[in-house]
Amino acid sequence: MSLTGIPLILVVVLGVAVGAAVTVLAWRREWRPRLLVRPAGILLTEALLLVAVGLIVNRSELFYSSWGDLLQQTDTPAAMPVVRAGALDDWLRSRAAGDHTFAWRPAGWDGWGLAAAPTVVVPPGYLEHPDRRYSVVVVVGDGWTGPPVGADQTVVVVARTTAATTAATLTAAIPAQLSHDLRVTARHWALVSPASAIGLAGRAAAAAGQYPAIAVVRDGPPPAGSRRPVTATPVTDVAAVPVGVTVGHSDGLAAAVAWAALQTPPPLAAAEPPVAWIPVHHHRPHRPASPAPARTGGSRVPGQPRP
Amino acid sequence: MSPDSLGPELLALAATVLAAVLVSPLWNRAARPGRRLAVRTAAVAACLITAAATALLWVNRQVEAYPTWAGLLGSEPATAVPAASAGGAGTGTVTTMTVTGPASGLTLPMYVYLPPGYDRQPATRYPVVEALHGYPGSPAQWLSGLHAAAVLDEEIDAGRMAPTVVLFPYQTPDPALDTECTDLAGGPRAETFLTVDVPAAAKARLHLRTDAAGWGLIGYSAGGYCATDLLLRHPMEYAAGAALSGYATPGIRVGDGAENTGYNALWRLAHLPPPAVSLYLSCARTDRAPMRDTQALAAAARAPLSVTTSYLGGGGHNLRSWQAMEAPAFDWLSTSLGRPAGPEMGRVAVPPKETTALRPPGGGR
Repeated sequence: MSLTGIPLILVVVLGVAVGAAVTVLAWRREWRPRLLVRPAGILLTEALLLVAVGLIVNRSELFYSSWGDLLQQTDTPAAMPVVRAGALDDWLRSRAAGDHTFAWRPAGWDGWGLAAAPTVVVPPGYLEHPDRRYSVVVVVGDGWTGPPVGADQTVVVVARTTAATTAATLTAAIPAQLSHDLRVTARHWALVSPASAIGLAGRAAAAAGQYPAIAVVRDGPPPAGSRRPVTATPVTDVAAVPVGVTVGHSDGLAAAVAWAALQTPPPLAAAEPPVAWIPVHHHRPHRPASPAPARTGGSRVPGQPRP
Repeated sequence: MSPDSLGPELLALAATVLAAVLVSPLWNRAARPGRRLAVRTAAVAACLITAAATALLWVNRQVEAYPTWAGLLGSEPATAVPAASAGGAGTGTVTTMTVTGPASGLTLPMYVYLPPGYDRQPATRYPVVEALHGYPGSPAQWLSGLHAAAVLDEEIDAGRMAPTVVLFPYQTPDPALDTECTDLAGGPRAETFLTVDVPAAAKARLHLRTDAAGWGLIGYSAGGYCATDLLLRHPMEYAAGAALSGYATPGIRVGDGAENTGYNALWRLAHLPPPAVSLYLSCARTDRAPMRDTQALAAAARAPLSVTTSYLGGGGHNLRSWQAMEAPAFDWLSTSLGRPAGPEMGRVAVPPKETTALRPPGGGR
């Protein structure tokens, strides 16, 4: 009999009527155990009445949809989440320590409309944390001078975009290929763009969830001794950027990359259970009562990987 | 002994049994018929009242609508700091603060979860999640029924979640009044309180990220509607929201008809440009109305709004389902918010060179 069905409610309501009738009929009997029968009848009727009310409310609100749900019988084992290693992880490990910058030539890159193969800068500590996925900052536009700029705990991709580059390269092609080659997140990346390429950046930001932040590097050399912080401004001053995208303005590339990285999540382990598939009841082993060992040194926020 | 503890419930149960036992000897006690009728009526009423009280106290224990006697007796909602709120290394702390809201005119207490290491990192500005409760209910349900502090400790410790400050505000000044986090016409302005006063009070007293990229929302049941609604209505203040068994509409009258337009998430998605924010919708398949709304929201969402859905094969509209959804939802939120920011946020003191470019700006402390 279904927990939320009419038959169960009818049975219990009938039970209330029978209980009340029996209590009334038994009331006048001069039984010896009258002091026991009377309270028992009252309590049973009351309990059935409350159960009936509870069943009716539950039927309308569906707090518990089945007996299994009420009695915690439905239990499914959780799939263990796995952070898949990047295809280039082993190759990176074989390179000289500290050499984290390389020209990235994934399959099909020459069809992306770029001036050259993208340059990828992998942050220090990437190989020491194989359970973490890293956020990505994509630097677009051309004409950057100086060595590629890396970012703290974030993968940087320098893609020298041209007029032939489409937003789909930034929102689909690069994320798909980079997720294959490195342990990077699938979404919530950030863009760094010169003012001249803001149109492309804005179109990429219009894709769902991929680039919620754009750092715009102001044209021209930064003023001497400039320490101006990156200013995040309302999006209204940048045409074609949807509401909700944060746009920062910066005097130099390094500051822009650092600011963009801060708009993305830190390297995190995979959700457990996976966010898109949750078993009905998943039980985590409780944390040990003894305090965790104190974390030592470093400027890192606790809980985050260190290089 | 608070109204949501075991003591009052056992007391009420004992009173129920006592009333049932006393009916029998009192039944023919009085000599005069008029007096006899009064005694009998009183005895039966006592039985019904005690039984109802037992049931209501049990319900209150489930939903935590009245976690304190002060709240039950009609004065302002109150918070009691839960036991074992402070722990050692690797354990966050739960404190309370009072939000005096100049914008909304509401003054309400709120619980605050501070992640491990918060006090040792005074220059770090943390991402923030506002956690909204269901109706009937109170923020206490997040901490007692959903064990939010322990779940957050575990997610942060395992690296599935960045260290994050979580705020647990009230969404109503009166436990008997359902605001659904809206500004009620002629009533409490809960939306203003939650989106203006609570962030302002938290930013003034805690070291938090002040930009939208660092602010998220989460809620279950009515709070799930709140998370969806406030995210869509305030994309300049919040970057992500997670709704557990949430709805697409407030299900109340706001007073000016806005429940059918601006406060209806489906109407917003159909009539307004979608904002570039991220929404997580989690629901039990058997939970009829939230399931219908969750699927409708997912179908109506268009870029740049990003929607992630997660459906439980079983479960219902209850604490156990939210316990199952809670940790993945917090994990997801952390992947949709900006990271904890150091003191040099957005600044670079020295133009980086080839190798130093890879070091974090601002160096070590």
